[in-house]
Parts: sequence; structure tokens; C-alpha cells
Amino acid sequence: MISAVNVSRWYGQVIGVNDINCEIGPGITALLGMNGAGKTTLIRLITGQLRPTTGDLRVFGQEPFANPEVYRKMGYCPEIDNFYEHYNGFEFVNYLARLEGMNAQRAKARTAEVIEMVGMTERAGRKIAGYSKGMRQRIKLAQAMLHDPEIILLDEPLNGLDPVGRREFMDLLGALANSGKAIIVSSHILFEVEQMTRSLLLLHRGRLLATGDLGVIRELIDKHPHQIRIETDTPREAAAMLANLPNIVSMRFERSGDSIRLEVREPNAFYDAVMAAVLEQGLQIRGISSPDNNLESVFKYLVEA
Amino acid sequence: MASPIADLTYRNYDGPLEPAMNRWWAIAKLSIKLSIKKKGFWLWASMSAFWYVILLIVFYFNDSVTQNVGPAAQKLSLMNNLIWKDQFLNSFSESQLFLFILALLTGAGTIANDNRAKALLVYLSKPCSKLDYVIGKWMGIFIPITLVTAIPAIVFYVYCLMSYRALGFWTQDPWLIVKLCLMVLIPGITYSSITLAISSLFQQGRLAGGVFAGVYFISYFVTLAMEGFNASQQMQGQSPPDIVKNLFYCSVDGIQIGMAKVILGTNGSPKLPFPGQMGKNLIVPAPSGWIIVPIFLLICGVSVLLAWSQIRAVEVVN
Repeated sequence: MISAVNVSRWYGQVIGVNDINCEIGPGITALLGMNGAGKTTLIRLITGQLRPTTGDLRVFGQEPFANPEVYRKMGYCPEIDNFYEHYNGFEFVNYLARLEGMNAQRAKARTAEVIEMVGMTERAGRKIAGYSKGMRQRIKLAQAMLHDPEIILLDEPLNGLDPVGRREFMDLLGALANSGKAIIVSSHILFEVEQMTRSLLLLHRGRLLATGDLGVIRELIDKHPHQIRIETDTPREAAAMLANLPNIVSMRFERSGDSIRLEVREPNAFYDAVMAAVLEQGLQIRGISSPDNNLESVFKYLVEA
Repeated sequence: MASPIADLTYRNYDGPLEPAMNRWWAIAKLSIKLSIKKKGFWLWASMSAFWYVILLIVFYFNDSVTQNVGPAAQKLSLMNNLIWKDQFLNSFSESQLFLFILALLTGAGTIANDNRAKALLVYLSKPCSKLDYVIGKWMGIFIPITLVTAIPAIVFYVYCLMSYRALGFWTQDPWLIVKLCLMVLIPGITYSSITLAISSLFQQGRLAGGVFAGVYFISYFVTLAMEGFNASQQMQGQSPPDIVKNLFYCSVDGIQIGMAKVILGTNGSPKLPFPGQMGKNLIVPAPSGWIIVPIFLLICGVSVLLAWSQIRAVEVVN
């Protein structure tokens, strides 16, 4: 759906994004990076509000800049939310439905529908000026879904949402992704992103550090051995058995006294070996987990590198 | 009956979407809707027709009195020597200040408010082009101002046509209605172009309004000064220099009055409170159409182009 080849965008002497190469297809893709990493610039390039300084960016095979044909298939939920404060939620979304090209009757019906989807039916008649941050986020998502777009871009969509709202939001995005749409979510709240997707684009200082599945990316980071935590009632015996297994870089007992922290290379081979030890040598373990097989660790390793 | 529990599942939209050419109308309609919601709009729109109302009252009583008194009084009636198209010109001229206030109300914030709210990010991510946006915003100012200018003029025209044909209303200028239709477009074109340009330069409607008011009044003082100078020269029996006549039209008001004079094909005649020589002294002859029409089109064109160049969804640092 979206392809970027050597895309760069400069703001005078300041670089927004630098030499980005990626392909984005259906499903939820997280656009990750610290503040100023270039997430918003990349989203604005994809939504056609900025033209790349160099490189080739295509959405459905077309250049998105000032191209209403592309906008027809795209929904955009920007980070800012100070829209016309004197509209009420329904009026605002209805107006944008008319801009999408719906006639008056269909615009009203569709507006009511999307407002219900984001759980704002009860509050749609209130002026936007009186909306909380979470309500504004919902209204923004409603306007992005109006015309049933193939691609929805959401810039920091979970900011200001309460826990229930976040869950509902994530469920809705999941449903959209399952129906074959491409959802691009920009965020720097890794924990929330991790709950939504394992597919990510990681930006740092304008450059694309990594793209693809979180697990695959983690496996490719050779510099940092994987951390594995094994809980057991007999840590010393377990350590003696585990020391014979391949790919272990280091091993230490945790202060709690009931677990061992290991650093290993090629974790899949290690897991197979642990299974064999449990079955054949009577290794007793209560639990096994990988503390750094998560987005935060991957992000940290890549950014620090 | 709809369930009290909201259905949060995603539902597809499978209805038709209209072609992209209608987008500007959605933008214009919203601007018009916002304008007519303001009470001030109706107040100033009504005020802009005050000169027509005065003329109607004066004509009505003059007509009634002279008909009741008899033929001798009819010969002395002020309506015998009236130049009808000049009454439209005078009313047009008197409505200028009110039309300016209307333009402030409807136009000053039209793009500035969008800039402030960063709403262009959303609008321009919809399938509407920058051209749709500019046309929509322009029409959103042009339509209300043109209607406010046109409705009293047409009502007055119809009243005079029905009542004063015997006094030469029709025979003086049979093409008057066509000329009026052109004349009533002038304030709409002028104000929508200028306010759009000024509004696009600012992030706050009030600031844009302040600048627009500054441009209007500073240029208006030039027109007033030239009018006074022209009158004083004429009272001394001298003809004012051409520069005075030209500078008179160098304002937001002046250029519109000049255009109206060119369209109606008249220099104007004294207004009701100053029917004699004093009124004649205040008249500034019509400008040359070959000069004022291109200048008018240039100002409006450049203003729209300025707005066009300023409108962008994202603030780009150069």
C-alpha cells in the first residue's frame, strides 16, 4: 500500500527524515521514535501534506502530495486536537463527511454511525470546546473512519484516553486491521504499542533504525544477548544443569533466591535445550520468561547502538 | 428502537461518494452558515439598506403630497429631475461602511481561524484540493455580501419600476437592471478577495480583522481628504487637479464607488440632504474605466493569489 524509497525531507538545514526505505501493508504498523525522531514528518509525507525533498514515496502507486485521489483512500487523525471549538462533535464530523463527498442524508447517517463506533453518541451534541482530551481523540478517529479508508494514519492516538477508552480504541483498531486495512499508529508509549502490534517502524533522529516484526528484529540484535529468567525452587541444582547447555554467555542468581538470570545467544536453540533438560535430566522449573524480548528493550538497544 | 448499548464494532461505508468538484460548496456552505448564525450579521445587513429605506420613505411622501396638492405642486416635485441610476449609486456608496463591517464579520477569521486551529491539517487531508478550499472560502464571503447588496437594490428597483415609470424610471435607462446586476457583484468580489488574503496571513481572526480595518480606514481617510479638497476647489470656482480625482478612488471604498460609476455610466448627482450647489461640489467625476477596471481586477487577483500561496496544511520552515 505504501512504499518509500530513499525518502528524505529537509526543513531548511534541519532534517526531518533521512533516507527512509520501507514498505507498509495491511495490519497495524507502529511508528516508533522519541520526540523529534521524524514520526510526524513521515506521517505528513504519507498523507501528502509535505513533499519529499528527495526520494520516491508512493501510496497505492501514486504520489500522495496534493493528490485528492490518494486522500480518498486515506483517513488521517492528526496529533493536534484544537479544531473549531464552537462546533459540536456531530457538526464537525458531518461537515467533514460532506467534504468526503457524501450527500447530506448519507453524511448524517454515516456521521451517526462512526460516532457510535467511537462511543461518543451521548456526547456528540456538546460543543468541542467542552470536550476532554479523550473525547477529542475519539472524534478525531471518527472523522478518519468516515469514508471507510484503506489506510488510516493516527498520530499519537492514545494520548489522553482513559484505560477503558484505550482498550476500546485498540479493539477498534484491531478490527480495522483484521478487515484488511493498513493502520499506522505513531507513538512513543511503547507499552501501549506493544499491546496493539508486533510490526513496527523504528525512527531515530530522522533515520529508520529498524522495520518489521518485533521478534525478528530482536533476534537480529546480536550485540545484546537475550536475557532469560528461570524460576525454580532449586536454583543451585538448576544452575549446575543449565551450565552445560550451549549458547549461554552468563548466569547469575537473583536476590530473591528463587530464580536465575541468564544471557544467551540463539534463544530458540536454548529453549529447545531447556525442554530436553526438563524431560531427560529432571530439571525442575516453575517458570521461564524473557525480560528483554519486548519493545522497550529493542528500542533501547537500537537507539543506544 | 436503537439499543442503549453502543455498538463499537467497525462498520463499512458502502454508499456512493460524489465527484470531487462539489467540495468547495461544502466549505462555502459552512462558512455561510457560520456567518448567518451571528446576530451582528443580520444587524449590519439590515443597516446596509438604510439609504434605500430613506429614499423609499422620501419618494413615497413626496409622491403622496404632490398628488394631493395638485398639478402645480407636481411641477415642483424633486422627483421630476431625478437621475434614477444615481439613487442606486448613492445607496451603494452609503452602504459601504456596513458592507465593510459585514466583511469583517464573515471574512476576517475565515482562514486565520483555520490556521489557529490547525484545521487545515484535517481539511487538506480530505479529498479536496487547495483550489476547492480557496474557492469555498471565497464564495463563503462573496455569497452573503452579494446577497446583502443585491436584495435591497432589486427590491428598490422593482418598487420604482412599478411606481415611477411615468417619471422616467424606465425610459432614462432601460439597461439599468443589467447594470445593477453587475454593480452588486463589486462589494462581494472586493471584500472576499481582500479579506481572504489578509486572513490567510494571520493565525488569529481578530488580528486579521484589525489589519483589514486598518487598511480600510487609512485608505478611507485618503478618499475623504480628496473629497474635501475637491469640494473646496469647486467652491472657489476652480477645477481640482486630476491627481485629486484619481486619489479619491484609491481606497477600498473608493475603488468600489469608481467601479459602480463606470458600470452605471454616471458621475453621480447630489444626495438628498445636499440637493443644491453644495451637493454638486461634493461630486467627484467618474474615473476612466480603462484604468480602474484593470486595477480592480489586479487587486482582486493578486489578493486571491496571495491567499493561495499562504494556504498550506503544514507550516514549512525555510
